[in-house]
Amino acid sequence: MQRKELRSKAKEIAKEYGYLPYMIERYLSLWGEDGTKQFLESCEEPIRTAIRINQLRIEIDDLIPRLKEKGVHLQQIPWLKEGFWADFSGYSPGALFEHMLGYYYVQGVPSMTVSRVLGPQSHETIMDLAAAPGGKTTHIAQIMQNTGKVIAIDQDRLRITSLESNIQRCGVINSVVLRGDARKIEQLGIRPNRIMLDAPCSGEGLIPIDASRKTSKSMADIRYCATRQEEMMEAAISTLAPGGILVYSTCSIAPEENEFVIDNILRKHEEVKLSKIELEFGSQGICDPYGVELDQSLKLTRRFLPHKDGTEGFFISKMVKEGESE
Amino acid sequence: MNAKLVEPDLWREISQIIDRDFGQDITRKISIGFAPFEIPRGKNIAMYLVPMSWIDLMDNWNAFSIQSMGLWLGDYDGTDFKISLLAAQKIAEDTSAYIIISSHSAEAFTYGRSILKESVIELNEQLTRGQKVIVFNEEHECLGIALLSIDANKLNRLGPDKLVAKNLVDIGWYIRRLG
Repeated sequence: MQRKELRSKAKEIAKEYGYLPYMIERYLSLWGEDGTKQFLESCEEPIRTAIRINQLRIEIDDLIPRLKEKGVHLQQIPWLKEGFWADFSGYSPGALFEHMLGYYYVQGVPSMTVSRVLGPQSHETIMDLAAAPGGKTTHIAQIMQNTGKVIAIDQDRLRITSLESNIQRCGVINSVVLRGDARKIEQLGIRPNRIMLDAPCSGEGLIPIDASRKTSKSMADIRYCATRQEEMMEAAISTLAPGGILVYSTCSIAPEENEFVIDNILRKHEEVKLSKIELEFGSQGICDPYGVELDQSLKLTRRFLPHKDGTEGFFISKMVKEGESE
Repeated sequence: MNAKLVEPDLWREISQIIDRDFGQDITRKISIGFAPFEIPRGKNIAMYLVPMSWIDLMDNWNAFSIQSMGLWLGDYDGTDFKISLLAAQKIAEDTSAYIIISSHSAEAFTYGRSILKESVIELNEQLTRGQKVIVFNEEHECLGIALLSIDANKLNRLGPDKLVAKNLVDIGWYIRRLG
């Protein structure tokens, strides 16, 4: 499609679906007209509720019959043994007794996938940057069975209240919650085995959940996010132990906040390589967004897309910092 | 750094309060292998139990403010110690200071309601007015903490709608505090 034609088509589609034209221009470049329309249509549909059963509190096989008895229909998420799509038959998922007891956590499928991609091991030291409201921190603690330590960092005082509440509710006792700027983590003097960086982003993947995102962010906002994401990633790489794993994710579908950010990092850091994600989900990352050739190893990254996966849009990458483990 | 080890005198005082409320030696049992840390929180002091191996790590954390760590034991206000729900769940396995309430009233309790005579399934007769008790449902799941309003041996003299224990904190707090 010629530039002029693309702009004209984007304007027309943007008007029809209520988006800003710059967004549609990018979608047309990435997915073509059919793919763009499939994406836009799927963003009009609600996302299925999902829960993660918290094995720090209860065994999976003990909770399933309890929830079924209350009329909750569960469907296993194939790549996550503790993850289920859940139809609460009109009840609020947060109002059930079992939720208060910390038996489950209401969490998006991509968000619970990302902790499994990180693959924390018992007794390791893990850092979770931008940790609030705690879905990933509590999941990491669950996978580690409350051993080792999870250092959860966030800057926002209010969001930390949610983080602490969820830590308590879920029975997590191996976490330290720190308030401060994650770009300064090197000053902590800790070399974690793994770092989770679910970076603050423009939220372009959350349109099915928040329709206001169709018009609330400009290209400048996306660039601002990308700069901050790269700074956080730099701090994470400096701090990570040699041989350590860094998972970078966002709830944005924007290549500017994902593939481009990682491509920059790979160019600057020879010691950092993308690693294969063993779980089977989503589709592969984009190596040539908008016709720009990026590092070919970006095909090892994964994307969730509403029109392909029925989830919010999400990006997940797994990197290893080469070197001898300490 | 805003967190520090609890001074021995203060730790002794807090241990005595917890043991008085929930049974002799309870504090020692739940704190084996842990060091007590304190973080100032408004007028109160929040207490945490932290694995011994973490202590040396915290030397360089000046750029960050520690919000919480390890197991939150509870808050000290200078006179009384309010044990946290998570610590109550740990203590629940070892204490005889508990009350079991019916399934129907369990729901009301998690909405902040207190416990009436008609709700009580089991209460140790030795417990007295002013005693803190762990509140369980019939499945023995810990729902919170309550303060006895009567001597337990007088329970059977009460009418069904009479107050037995006042709700101090319950698991609904996790949800309510977030609005």
